[in-house]
Amino acid sequence: MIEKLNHLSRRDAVLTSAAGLGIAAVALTSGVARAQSADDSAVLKALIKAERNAIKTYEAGAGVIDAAPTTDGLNAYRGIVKAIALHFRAQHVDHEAKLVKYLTSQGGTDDVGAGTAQIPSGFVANIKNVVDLATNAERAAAIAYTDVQKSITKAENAELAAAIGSDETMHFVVLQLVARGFVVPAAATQGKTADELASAAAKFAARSFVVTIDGAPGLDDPTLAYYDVTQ
Amino acid sequence: MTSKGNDPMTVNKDSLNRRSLLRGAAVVGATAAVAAACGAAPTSTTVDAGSGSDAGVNPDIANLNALLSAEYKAIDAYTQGAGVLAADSSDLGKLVLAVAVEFQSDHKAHAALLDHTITSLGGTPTTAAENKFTLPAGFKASTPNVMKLACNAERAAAVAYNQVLKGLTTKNNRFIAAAIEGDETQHYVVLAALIEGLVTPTANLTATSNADKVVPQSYVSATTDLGGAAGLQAESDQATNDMM
Repeated sequence: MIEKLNHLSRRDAVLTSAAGLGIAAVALTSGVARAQSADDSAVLKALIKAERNAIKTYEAGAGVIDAAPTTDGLNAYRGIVKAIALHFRAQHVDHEAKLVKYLTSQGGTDDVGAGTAQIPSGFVANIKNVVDLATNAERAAAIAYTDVQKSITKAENAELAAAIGSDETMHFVVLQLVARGFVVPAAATQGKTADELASAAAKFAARSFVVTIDGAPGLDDPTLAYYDVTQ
Repeated sequence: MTSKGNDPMTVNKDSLNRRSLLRGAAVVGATAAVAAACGAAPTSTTVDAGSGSDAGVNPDIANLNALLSAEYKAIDAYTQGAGVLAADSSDLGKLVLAVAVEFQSDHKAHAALLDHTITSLGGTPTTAAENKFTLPAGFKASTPNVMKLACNAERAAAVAYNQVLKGLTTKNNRFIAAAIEGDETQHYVVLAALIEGLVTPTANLTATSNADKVVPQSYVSATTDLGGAAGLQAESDQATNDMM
């Protein structure tokens, strides 16, 4: 995996200048979406492609974490970082599924193909750089999802894009707090495996959507309790 | 990147009123969620259109005024919470206060943009004086409870923005709502992570250092051309070639 990451072509890096989901921004600013303004299929397809790329990128990142030596600067936190990466990956899977459903239910065809990991040229394989890569990708995704509001025609697609985009802003802010060295994961997570920390990681962005989408719960989920402020 | 501003906050928690809490707290269209957050039975999901009398002129004015009402209440809620936090001399208390000031600054930016947008549409914006936050009944003043109160409110606000966005009729207004919504989910998840003890602040994050960079911009994407401010485009990418 590391060898693969270190040999990605310059062309791939240029295509994904912002890393990760940057391809969505590329597609959406190239006029593709505006050229097909009669429906939202071009926008939805760009977002599907971006989600598939994000899924693959997180998978590649998890591989880097697994392969990192014990001398890695974040070795003590490898378990929680991987658990968070897998949690965020799972949320991207949820996003992709809903986007596909919306596209096909509106008469579109899912013909965008598989995703590919978006690794920038010069990427050095270690845990910190995986966090940095994911931070960059989620920031680009959050911006792209917001910007597509200027192109989307149908209200339900606008709702979906906002519900996903604001989840990805949560991914971004959590990752950037670690990337910038403002916080570290709780000490109790040190030395534990990703499997052991899956439930803790799931508390970072507790739902895949901000509002319930087609039966998939959002932050409006009544089973997600609000905090009691009377104790 | 510039600091988002540090306006001093004052205390005002005299006007406890359960009914007004249910009408607004931090939100529009999510009254039920706010009520649940504060232990009250959900009573309504009606959008509070604020006090503007010209909501019929443009269909988006009422919804934007409702969001503006929610922003003013959020600003006031942080002001009231600051009074509790100011009494906490611990490092965590000071940090939480500094972060709360930054989040309040974000809400002020949101309110200014919504006010500008409503005015541009020919509407009459509701005012801060008309939209005061009422602490929930039984609220017990402490730093953790202020954090929880804010976290609840930010979550409900994000939900409300998403719900309202769907009903907005113009793309630019949806864009503004989305750019704000994603900022409020950032507030929510940062507060939740601290409340849950999922993360520990380092020496790089203190009351006097980097509190303005926790949520680095008031908008997800730049709203400058619509009367707002910078978005996350203003942030630099993290280097991915560090040797560790």
